[in-house]
Amino acid sequence: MTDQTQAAPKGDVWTYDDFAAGLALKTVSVTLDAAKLDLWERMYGPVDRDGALPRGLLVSAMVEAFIASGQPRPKGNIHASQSLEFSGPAPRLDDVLTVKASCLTKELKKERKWVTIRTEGQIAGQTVCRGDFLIIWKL
Amino acid sequence: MGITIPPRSIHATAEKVALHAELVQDFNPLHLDEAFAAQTPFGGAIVHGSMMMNLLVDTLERAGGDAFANGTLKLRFAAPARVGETLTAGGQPSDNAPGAYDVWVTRGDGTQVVTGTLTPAA
Repeated sequence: MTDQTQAAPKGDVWTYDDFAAGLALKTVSVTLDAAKLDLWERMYGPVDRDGALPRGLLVSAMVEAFIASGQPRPKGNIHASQSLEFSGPAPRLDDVLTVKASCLTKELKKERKWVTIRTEGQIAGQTVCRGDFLIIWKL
Repeated sequence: MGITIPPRSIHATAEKVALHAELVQDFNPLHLDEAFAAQTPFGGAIVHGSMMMNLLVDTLERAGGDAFANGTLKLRFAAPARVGETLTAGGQPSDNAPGAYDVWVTRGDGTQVVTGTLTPAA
């Protein structure tokens, strides 16, 4: 996994105040390598490694990129809801998913801090997945 | 109308949750540290929402192939599932939206922990 841009919080961890609509977070690349497939298979069973890989691996890679897009973050954030959209062919072994993440919205509601992070993942320049993560931010 | 979505289950043991944490590099102690999680409103370690999402996406892709995999999913994490629960993903054609599916993940007591809608690709 590699980080390609720099985005940083003002303090020790990312807080609600650090976000603004449109703020770009780190772009992160995740390789769908054999080590990830090993983990996947221990959870969900065997996969044909020479063929189309499960889209769940794209979901996992997108989540990994989302987690890495802004670190460190407070303990105890809550993942409240999610949209997911896929396009194009299923991934193959050793494909590299490059994920751009940005803050879509932030909102105070019922004394909770809601942050939506939008992600878009590409393999070899083709968009293959999009996802909006709605998070109740702890701090 | 619509196809049948065979349900699939996973026993979300601490070992499986640790594997998921490694897969997605999410080491939030809410999922991995019982002592930390016991101090939160959840009262104990809970399964990653992203693990429930993986189970659901895998279940839908196995049932409906590319049309399902390339659809649009809107999901809400409606309730927590404690580590150790058996989670089951499933779905059925929606009564409200033609062509769409109501989809879910339930925990052991039948409570829906993820609820949502799948709109398959055209």
